[in-house]
Amino acid sequence: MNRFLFILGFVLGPTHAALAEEKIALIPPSAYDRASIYLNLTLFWVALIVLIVLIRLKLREKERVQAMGRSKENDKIPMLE
Amino acid sequence: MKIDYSVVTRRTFLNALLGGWLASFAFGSFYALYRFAFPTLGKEPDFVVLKPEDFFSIPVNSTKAFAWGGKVGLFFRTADNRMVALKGVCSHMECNIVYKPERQRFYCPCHKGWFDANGRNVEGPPPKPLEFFDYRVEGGKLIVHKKGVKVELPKA
Amino acid sequence: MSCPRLKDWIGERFDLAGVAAAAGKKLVPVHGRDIWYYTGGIVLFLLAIQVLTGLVLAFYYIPYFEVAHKSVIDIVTKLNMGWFFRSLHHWGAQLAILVMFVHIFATLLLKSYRKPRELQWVSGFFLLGIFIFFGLSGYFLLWDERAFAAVRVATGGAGNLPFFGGWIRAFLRGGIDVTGETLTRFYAFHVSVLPLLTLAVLGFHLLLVLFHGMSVPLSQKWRNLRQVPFFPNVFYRDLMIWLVVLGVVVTLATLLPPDIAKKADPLAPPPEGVKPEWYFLFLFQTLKLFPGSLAGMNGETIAIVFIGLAILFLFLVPFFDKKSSLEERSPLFTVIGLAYLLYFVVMTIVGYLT
Repeated sequence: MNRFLFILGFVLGPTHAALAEEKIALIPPSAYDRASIYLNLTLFWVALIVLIVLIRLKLREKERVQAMGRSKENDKIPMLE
Repeated sequence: MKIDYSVVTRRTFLNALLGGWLASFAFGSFYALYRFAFPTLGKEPDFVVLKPEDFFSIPVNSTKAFAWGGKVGLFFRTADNRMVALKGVCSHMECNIVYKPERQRFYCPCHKGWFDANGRNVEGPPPKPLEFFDYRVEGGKLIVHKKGVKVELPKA
Repeated sequence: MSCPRLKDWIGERFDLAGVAAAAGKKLVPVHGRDIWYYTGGIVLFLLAIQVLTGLVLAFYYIPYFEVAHKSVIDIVTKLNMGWFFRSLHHWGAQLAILVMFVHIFATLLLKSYRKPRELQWVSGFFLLGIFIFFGLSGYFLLWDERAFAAVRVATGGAGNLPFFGGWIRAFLRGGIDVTGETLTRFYAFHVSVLPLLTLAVLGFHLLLVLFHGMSVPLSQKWRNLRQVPFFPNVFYRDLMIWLVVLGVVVTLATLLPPDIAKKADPLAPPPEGVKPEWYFLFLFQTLKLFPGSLAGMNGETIAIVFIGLAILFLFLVPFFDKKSSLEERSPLFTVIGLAYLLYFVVMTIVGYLT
């Protein structure tokens, strides 16, 4: 019996202590806030990916210019006014 | 004997003087800063004074904590109804220990060390037994002190 | 938007065109292993995140033991986006240390530490030490029961070092025990001493990178390597990787905010099964391998001396690896590097699972 109580104490002890304490909300608890957080995270990723794609396009452009044997475009090209 | 040529020129002498002076000056200044940065170490107390009514009333086979300086001390009424006081700090890595009345043993949750009711390290990593204190009651005060330390309370 | 007049105004006062030309002239070799060379840049980027989030957290955190824990809870529950930026600071730190370990092991296995880059290795090793101490001190600022127990054990462990142990322990704790004094000390380390040290050592590290350029692994050395300019080619790649890392950190911070345990109480027993942060686990597991006492000496002390020697060997590896310095292959040190890596990974996993 004693041993049983001892094991029970080990099993129940920690959960009981956790229940007695106030749980700290590590993330805003309301469903509305949660939803907007996950929406923002998705939007953030979309913006990131677009940005990465744009940088990649720019890098391709630079590499094309370099492949033509020029480190820089000639800035004295006459422009249409 | 007169030496015609000195081994040490005026220039090396002056350089050594400047360098040495600079080094000792910097050392002295930084040593002062270091003395400020290093903490003034308190000492573990030789004794603490408590109220007897708080501790003599604890049930058999249980403990009650008191502050022993910055660490924890435990009053412990053993299963065979003796009162003892001990330092509640594991001899391994200084974690606080906790008494498990079911097994009549002290337990250190940090690295799973066990001590029996006499403070002997019986299981796990602790290398040494627990430290026990002496205590006595004098003029309505409970004085807990290290073993072998004579405590003279100032007469109020 | 090119603003030629503004460019001219600045150009007359500072040689902007010269800097731009230098960045374009800096060539970086392209080879099969160059992906590992981006890890250093990732750490740099994560450090920038840590500096920014840390600055703002310091607006609200109160480094006093009675209110520190409450002030962290207030940051998480009451402030705008407080929960997010604390979590971001936490995950930024975890990833920074993780990527730093990758960076160090990549350098070790590619032997980029070889002559003339020994000082880069040495300064990088110092940065790892600084970052780990950043981690320990930042963890402690939470002032919860786990952090309290962890710092008691960690500073106590440092106290087991021979000769200087007691001195280091007292200096870190600010007294004989871990108390409120330790909190103010760790706060000062975390927000002022360590950032300044990082700035100095990192500046030196990067200056050496500029001076020596990128190392080429011995296996790639004899091929005819293509070189590309640092700006814009490598820099754009860096940017893309940084953005991915930013996405990962932000996602982790949103989905897995680190929890806060009960306020620390010096008189209460520590929580059951308290574990150090993951980057200490391999040390923790090594300590467990040693018995309490060995040949009449304290087992902990022997273990710590043993670990200290192993780390010292790694620290001085560029000076032991003579073959690499002569640009010869040195398989012995590849084996040693792999052994270190294997030990670190296995012990961390074992420590995590038990």
